Amino acid sequence: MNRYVRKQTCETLVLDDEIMILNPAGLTITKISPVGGFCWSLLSAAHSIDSLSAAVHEHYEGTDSSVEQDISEFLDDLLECELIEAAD
Amino acid sequence: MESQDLIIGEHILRIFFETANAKMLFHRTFPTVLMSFHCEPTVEIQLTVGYGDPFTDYHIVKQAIFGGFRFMRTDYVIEAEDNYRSVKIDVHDSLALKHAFIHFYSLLILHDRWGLLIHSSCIADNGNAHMFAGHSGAGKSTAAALSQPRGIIADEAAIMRIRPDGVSVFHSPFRSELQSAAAREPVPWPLAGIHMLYQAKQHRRTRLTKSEGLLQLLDKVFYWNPSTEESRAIIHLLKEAADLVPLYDLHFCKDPEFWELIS
Repeated sequence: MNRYVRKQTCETLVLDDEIMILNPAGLTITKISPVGGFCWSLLSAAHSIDSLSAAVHEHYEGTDSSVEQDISEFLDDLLECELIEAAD
Repeated sequence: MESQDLIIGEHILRIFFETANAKMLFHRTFPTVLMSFHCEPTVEIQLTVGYGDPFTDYHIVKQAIFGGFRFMRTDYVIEAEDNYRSVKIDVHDSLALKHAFIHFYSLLILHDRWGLLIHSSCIADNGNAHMFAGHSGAGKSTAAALSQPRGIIADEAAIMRIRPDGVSVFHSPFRSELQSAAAREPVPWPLAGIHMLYQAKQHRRTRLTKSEGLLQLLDKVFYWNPSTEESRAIIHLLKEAADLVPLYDLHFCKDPEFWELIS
């Protein structure tokens, strides 16, 4: 299964409780949800959809089976914004 | 070669005019610029008139030259040492002169991490400043004109100093039209609020979250072709500003009563 990791040049910005990702290469800022912020924190190391989904299940009570789909879409968005890259 | 010392923000610029025509064009372009006396300049600029062709577009070519950079547009060229302390500017006409100085000053203050030039108007009110930003046609100049007799600190490009202890704006000579109503005191005006303008049928002001405000400010910064490091610096300065100054969406119609939502 594909694994992904943050791009080295990206930086996390926290304003109050809001989390944003700065990509200075494209002068872009991407705002993410608290669960997205949790996943982003994990992506400092390589992770797959499965490993992220498992971590979300463990961290947040009551998450349902659709979380894998949400994580997959989240990773697609991060890829499209060029914030993560393939780890291997 | 004749020279004059000017104050822009907290910077003393010593301008060397190559000809009397260059000096005349400069003062016609920046009629509200503040003069400085008996202070050591922080920057020296040689100004020449006669370069290139009239404005065609905003495309700028950046070249590395020995010890610095060259920035070229059809109607101006800027050659600056890499610390932006010694600069040559050659322009075609008044429009080119205005844009070249806005360009250079934005480079200087970002290089020093002093602050940013923001595409906005700024109004003085009870010792504070209020900023009005928005896309072209949103009403920045209209809001400024409706705010008179309050002093107009900026009507096009606000000079914003960002420090951990607060955000201030300074008199801006970079103006579009409201030259006569300038608040010309060479002092920092504490920035009390930043308003993103939208024309509407009724006045309404809504507080933005810091992240929303930061995102909205991002494309209001005057800067051209930033490097990765410059982009990072711009965003960090904006984050600091968004942390310190409240940001709002301001829906307004064309009458001065919108100030009742602000003052």
